[in-house]
Amino acid sequence: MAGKKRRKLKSLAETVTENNRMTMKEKKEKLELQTWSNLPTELLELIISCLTLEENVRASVVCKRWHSVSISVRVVNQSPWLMYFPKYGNLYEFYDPSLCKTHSIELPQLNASRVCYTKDGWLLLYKRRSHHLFFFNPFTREVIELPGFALYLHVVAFTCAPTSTNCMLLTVQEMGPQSVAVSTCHPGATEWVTVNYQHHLPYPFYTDSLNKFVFCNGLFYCLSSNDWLGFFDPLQRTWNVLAVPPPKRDGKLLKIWRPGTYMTEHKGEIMLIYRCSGSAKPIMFKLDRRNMVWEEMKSLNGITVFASFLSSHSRTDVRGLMRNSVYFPNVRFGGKSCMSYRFDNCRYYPGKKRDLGGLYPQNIWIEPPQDFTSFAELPKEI
Amino acid sequence: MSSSKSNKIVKLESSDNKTFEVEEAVAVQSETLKNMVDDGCANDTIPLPNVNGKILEMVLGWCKKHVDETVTGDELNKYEADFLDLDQADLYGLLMAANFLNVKGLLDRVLQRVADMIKGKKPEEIRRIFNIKNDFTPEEEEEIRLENAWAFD
Repeated sequence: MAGKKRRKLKSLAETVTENNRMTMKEKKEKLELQTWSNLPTELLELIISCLTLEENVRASVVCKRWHSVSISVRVVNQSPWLMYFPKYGNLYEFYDPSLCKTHSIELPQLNASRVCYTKDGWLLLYKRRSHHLFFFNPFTREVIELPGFALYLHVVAFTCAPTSTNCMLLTVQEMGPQSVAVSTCHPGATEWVTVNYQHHLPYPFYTDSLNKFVFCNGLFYCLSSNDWLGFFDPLQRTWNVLAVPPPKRDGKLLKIWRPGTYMTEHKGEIMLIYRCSGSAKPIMFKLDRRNMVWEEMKSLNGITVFASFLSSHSRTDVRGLMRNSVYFPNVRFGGKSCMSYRFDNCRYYPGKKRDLGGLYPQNIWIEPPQDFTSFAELPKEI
Repeated sequence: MSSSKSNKIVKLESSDNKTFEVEEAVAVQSETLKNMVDDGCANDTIPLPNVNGKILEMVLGWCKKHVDETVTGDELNKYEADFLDLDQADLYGLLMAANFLNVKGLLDRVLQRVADMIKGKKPEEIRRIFNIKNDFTPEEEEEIRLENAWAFD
């Protein structure tokens, strides 16, 4: 014990700052500081659990003990992959931005179909000519059929994996100045159910251009092409349009390039991201339900958003990825990197002048399963 | 328990032989002390050999404040924020005491306070703040840094 104290005093001498003559009291406090090394493991675990992934990684370098505790409590969330649709042929590429790796796989099952939506690692696909709708899991190659439906546009959303009993599909179509037709279905049903609804706002709910859907807090939210937000309650089977005026900046409506509009949610909060032309910063809003307005967000507060035209995801604590960033559905440099914008230092990556990149509206972020190590080795099917 | 104020007093003795007397309602903010009271072991002075007088006084102050019905939500928030504005030694003592005495809410606050001291700091700074010796070899440390280079700007 005495030996330790002598060594401690020696290193204290080394750390005395220029202006500071250590008093006995200060020296005693420094000695007491070494008790932090004796902090019980369960308390250290609780403390390190409060940190983000990035902070956890930095804490793991402090000393061996902190390293083993950091690793034991570390939570790393899986990044979605960008599924990249080929112009010709059946070779689909999946880009993993956290590892900058691309996997490619032949998926002839998707021939002549358009993707509508994705959730929980499943895709919903539509073949326009035959009105054929089906679920497909590109990782397990499982197919789940659905009753056919003449979709107005190929925009349909669903709540969760079709293997779950709660899976429900929804599509919305404008029918008149203040009415929409809401059509719903579920795996195992024989047909779609369509009901017309009136809403009370004196504004139309346009669905002529592709609408955005987000399912959260048990409700299907749908953003019209004129930026009004409606929602459908699948339990009550009710439809309403929120009296929340479309987002504005400096009092003016945003002149939006539609393919650059993305809607997602994080912990129940709905967010809208508008990508602007050239190298202008994306504009973001979150829905303030209490005051019934879209509030502009200057930062994503540590979240990473994976934006794609048809569906977008939000994540925290993703390994290797930039926090407070939006990843766009454009893969560049032959599949080696993905375009993103980082709000912390207000720049796009890569840094060259941006093209609008709306040429591939089908590119979609999909969640791979936990164990996808065997994905690349899946045999090519004929 | 009963709505009328129990006049039962609990006596506590810190590691440095200071005695404190508090109302039962205050003492039972500590789950540890509550268990003793429920088990009927709180009739004599309870010795607390791992909590010193200074820290015990702080903890009891916290408990008193949280039992006081005249305190408003805002006042309580301010109290809690000021409470945790402590130096290293006291913070460590408080952490250990809050853990041992299992005081509702206090342990969470102290843990978060310590986490806040770690947030945004480089490993060298964290070591300095908590006076922790780096027992990695330079090669070992380099390996960890390289593994997750993205986290080290």
